[in-house]
Amino acid sequence: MAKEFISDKKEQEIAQKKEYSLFGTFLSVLMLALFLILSWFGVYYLFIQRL
Amino acid sequence: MHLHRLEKVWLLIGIGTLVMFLTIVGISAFAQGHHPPSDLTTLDPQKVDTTEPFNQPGLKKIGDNEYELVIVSQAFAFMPNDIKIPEGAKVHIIVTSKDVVHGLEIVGTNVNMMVTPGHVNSLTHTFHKPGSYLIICNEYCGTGHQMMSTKIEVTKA
Amino acid sequence: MKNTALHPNDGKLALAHIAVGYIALFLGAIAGLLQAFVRSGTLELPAGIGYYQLLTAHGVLLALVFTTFFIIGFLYASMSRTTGDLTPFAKKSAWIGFWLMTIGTAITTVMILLNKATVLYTFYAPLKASPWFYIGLTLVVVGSWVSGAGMFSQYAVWKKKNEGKPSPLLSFMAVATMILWIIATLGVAVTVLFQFIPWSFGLVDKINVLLSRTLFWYFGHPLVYFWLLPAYMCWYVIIPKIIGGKIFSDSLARLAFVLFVLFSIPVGFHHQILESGITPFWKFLQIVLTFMVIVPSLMTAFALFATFEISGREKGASGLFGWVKKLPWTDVRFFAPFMGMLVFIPGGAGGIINASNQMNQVVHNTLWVTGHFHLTVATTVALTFFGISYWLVPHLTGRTLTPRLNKLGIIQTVFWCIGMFLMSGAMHTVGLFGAPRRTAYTTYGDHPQALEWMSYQTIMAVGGAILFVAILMILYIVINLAVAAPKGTEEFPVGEVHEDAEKTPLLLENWKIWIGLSVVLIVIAYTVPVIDIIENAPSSPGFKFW
Repeated sequence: MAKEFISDKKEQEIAQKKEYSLFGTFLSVLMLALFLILSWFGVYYLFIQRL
Repeated sequence: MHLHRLEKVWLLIGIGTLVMFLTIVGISAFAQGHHPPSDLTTLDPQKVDTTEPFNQPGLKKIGDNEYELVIVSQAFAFMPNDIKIPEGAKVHIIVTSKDVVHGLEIVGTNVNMMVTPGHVNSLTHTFHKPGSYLIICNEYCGTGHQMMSTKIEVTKA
Repeated sequence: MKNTALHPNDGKLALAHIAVGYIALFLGAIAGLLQAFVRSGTLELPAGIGYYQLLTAHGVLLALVFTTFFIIGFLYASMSRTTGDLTPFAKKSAWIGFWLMTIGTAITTVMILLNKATVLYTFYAPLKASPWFYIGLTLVVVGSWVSGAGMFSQYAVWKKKNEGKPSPLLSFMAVATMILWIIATLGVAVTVLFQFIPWSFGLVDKINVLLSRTLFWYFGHPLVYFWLLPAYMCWYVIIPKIIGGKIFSDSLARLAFVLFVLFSIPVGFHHQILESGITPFWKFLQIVLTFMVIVPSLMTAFALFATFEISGREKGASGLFGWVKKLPWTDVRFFAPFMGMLVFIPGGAGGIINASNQMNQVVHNTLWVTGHFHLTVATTVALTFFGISYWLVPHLTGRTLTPRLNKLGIIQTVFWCIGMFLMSGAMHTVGLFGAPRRTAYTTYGDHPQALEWMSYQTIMAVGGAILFVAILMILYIVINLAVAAPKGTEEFPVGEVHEDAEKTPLLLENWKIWIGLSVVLIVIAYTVPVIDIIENAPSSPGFKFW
């Protein structure tokens, strides 16, 4: 990013915000967490069933 | 150190999930008694045959549909062989090894423990369903390891 | 940063390590293929070769030899690339280390082939192998220490010349990996030198079994992080360059590595959850510490996705997932490690389950566990190492990765994933039904519970066969890249830090603090139970049951 061309501080903030839109990343890791939780509870359920 | 706002949220969710897992297994273990097998009893591994209760491996009735099952494992067999118990029996399993490390697993149940020579290991299990349960050694103990097994017949009450 | 080839001497050093690694991969894979067929009941081994003998060879050659050699080769190449040509001391140490490890590997392998050490790669006492098996393993470990000393000196020399500057990220990570390795191998060195070797020579009659197992697992878990961290080096530093992006955050990457040094060692009890002689309290304490070591991996997941998303957006991607399309899917240097990352999601999920205290009773010593580490080390780590080889080998030999070899690499990766999906998927499933790991073909007298497992064991063999084809493909590619591909300059990709990233705090490089904290954690987690084991656990004579 050509940061030096942005003189106005506000503009710079907007540019940074745009650059750091990480909602795709966030959603991806949330899916990862969902997978961890589902598989964990799957085996936990087996443990309880076999008690 | 600077963290992106969404990364902070992610780490909170992630660490929160881990804390949840730990809390669930922690309560189940420490409050409800579902500890993993961690017997602290020891014995001389070369005197198993003369040490109580392993001098008499077998099933012993100790209460109303409650049993003590003493098992001696050695390459490549479990003593006693072919055990019969009624449905709903609560069985306290006590096991040790006469030689190398073995594993004792009752297939399809939570009974799964390491059997280390010189140590006793124990678990309690209630057999709710009738049928034939396979007991196997699940730790490599030598060339005959895959033959090391026995059965528990749980008969209809 | 310069992108010329490494100094030829440094290149030769890295290549020698990688070559021994791939030879071990080939031999270990043959053993693996045969095992899969034996276990499914489709093959009986000829000429007195035992299933467990093959299993020992498979574990030692792949888990210990392939990984260690490849890793040390890659780490030295990374250090030479980022801190400049290796100093004479570093080079000398590396070669001495290389020969010690090679001689050790040869001794160990010969002992296994002579059927004098059919004790599997975990060599649990009181199964007693030939002393030469343990001596061979000792040479491998000592050799790796000498190599580590070379890396530390190279790093120290750079630091002295560049005071006040953070070291290059790749070299920092290489040093962190070696620090982790040395702290971890102290445990296995103590048990092998003071327990196994005197006992197997007959100098003492008995061995404290629980102590040997505890020392082994003190080493055994950080061992898996020693495999994983070089893969993380590729993901954090190499991959951003290949996809045309930047490193998300230099300091967070370093922090993740520091957390691994701290938390991957005091956790060995989670391999001994179902064992006598250790109280539930100490087991649970180490399980909590085990969960701490998941945190740097959560950070890594975010950092990697963020690298992909930012670079995609800088290339004009829009929408929530538009950046996915901007990734270089047809570049095997990206595709193979990326599939490794993806597989680490189920791999990690399985790992959390394994370590969840009493839930371990569902899966311990079943094929589930075998399935688990065939995802983590044999897919995540292996595919990333293959991904590194596609550019590192030609970079070192002055050749190039041709489009044809690139395409073959993509096919190799797909084969690997399909084969592993079948094999590891079947292992996970049948493990939940109770099928034991490390067990030759058996129906337990046609017991109905065991008969249910048979079709899964056939799927495992089909997956194993596909994996073996993939092994032949990677060997073909690597040999081609080493001796036949067209001459040229292949890039050693090293990512740069994003310009918006903050400056790296020098605290992260203060190894005295991190090693000190690591030692404190180890002392907290191990002192009381180990004293208890030394005082109370009985010793046992040795046995040879093969």
